[in-house]
Amino acid sequence: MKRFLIISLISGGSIFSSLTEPAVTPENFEALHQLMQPRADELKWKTIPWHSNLWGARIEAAEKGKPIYLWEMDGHPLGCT
Amino acid sequence: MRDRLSSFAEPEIIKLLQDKFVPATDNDWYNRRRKDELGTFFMSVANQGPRAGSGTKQGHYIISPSGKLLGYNNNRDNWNRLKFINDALEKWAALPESETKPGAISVPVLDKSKLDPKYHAEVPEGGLALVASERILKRVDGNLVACTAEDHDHEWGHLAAVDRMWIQKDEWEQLLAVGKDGGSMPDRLAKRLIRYHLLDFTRGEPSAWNLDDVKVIDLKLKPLADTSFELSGKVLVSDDTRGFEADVSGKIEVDSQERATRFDMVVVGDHWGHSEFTGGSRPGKAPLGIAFQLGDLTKSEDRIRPQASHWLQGYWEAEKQF
Repeated sequence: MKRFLIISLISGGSIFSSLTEPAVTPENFEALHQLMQPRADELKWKTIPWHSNLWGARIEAAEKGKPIYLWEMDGHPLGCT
Repeated sequence: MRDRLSSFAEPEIIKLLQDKFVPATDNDWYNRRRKDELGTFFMSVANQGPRAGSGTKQGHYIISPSGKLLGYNNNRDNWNRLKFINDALEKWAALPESETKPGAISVPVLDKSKLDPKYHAEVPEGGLALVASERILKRVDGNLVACTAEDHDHEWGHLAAVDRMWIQKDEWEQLLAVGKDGGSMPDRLAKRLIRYHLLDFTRGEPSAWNLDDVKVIDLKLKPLADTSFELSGKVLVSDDTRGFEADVSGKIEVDSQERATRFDMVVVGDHWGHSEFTGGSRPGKAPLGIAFQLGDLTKSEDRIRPQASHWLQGYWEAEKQF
């Protein structure tokens, strides 16, 4: 099946390249790779300096004399949950 | 994901967590099962709250370094979460200095040899951790663009989702050997990529593919120069209810000691359906994209284990159906 795709980034809507088969080419590779990355507006929660495990946070909390805020999920909260 | 959009995007809550707390995330699926010092500590905290007993311990906890539970919350409403945080801070302020003074509590570094091997795993020595970022896409006037909230009847399914893929040292060496001469991606690694990572994980954790769901693997490596390789090909994976047909392209670069300096991969294609616990996919076939890149192992979040690695042997030996 022949496919005609033109890749653009939503941020500016600018056209990076046009595609026929295959969907990913050397010309559009970088633009496609960038397209899938989280955007700044999706990353506000990452301005919080999360530890990725409870024990590391416990060590730092004891050293600094601070309480721990623990976000615990079935599936890592910094992953695909 | 909902928490990322609601309370953890709220400036007042962000500021409180940055200033007043040591913020932590962790995976309840492992922590409530593991039989080691970390698991014992976590359960001693969870059993002080409303999630005591068996079953999930999901939620938000505020605890002292010694393990006193100061508050529990699992309500995403910002007012409730702020109240939970401020109430816990009042309880923290009422604790004696023997609990709250810097250095008053001594917490040892965990002895890794004593961690529960069934539920604890780290990036394999000499291996790689790739970070995968995925989005649902749409075609507009021939353009392939990222979806927005208006495109999808799901609260957060349009956002980028993140996972990690692990590659062991010997698998990396085999991949390089194939890359130098040109040839097919080693079967075990190709099956791991497809079965455990070419999934729609934009609405949570999907089920991995079974081995016989893998219908087409055509992934080829070829050298571009002494220190760079190209990956290209196609895959088709499907069962009775869902599928993904995609083009795969990658750029791999190494230094003079054959350490990976770049491992970028793009997978783009049409997917359909959803797995048991990730309902709410778009109707019919629709484009989906996944970008992989080399993780930075100095960052703890890049060392988080892959979502689909609950049973590590099955993840490693992806060419087998157990």
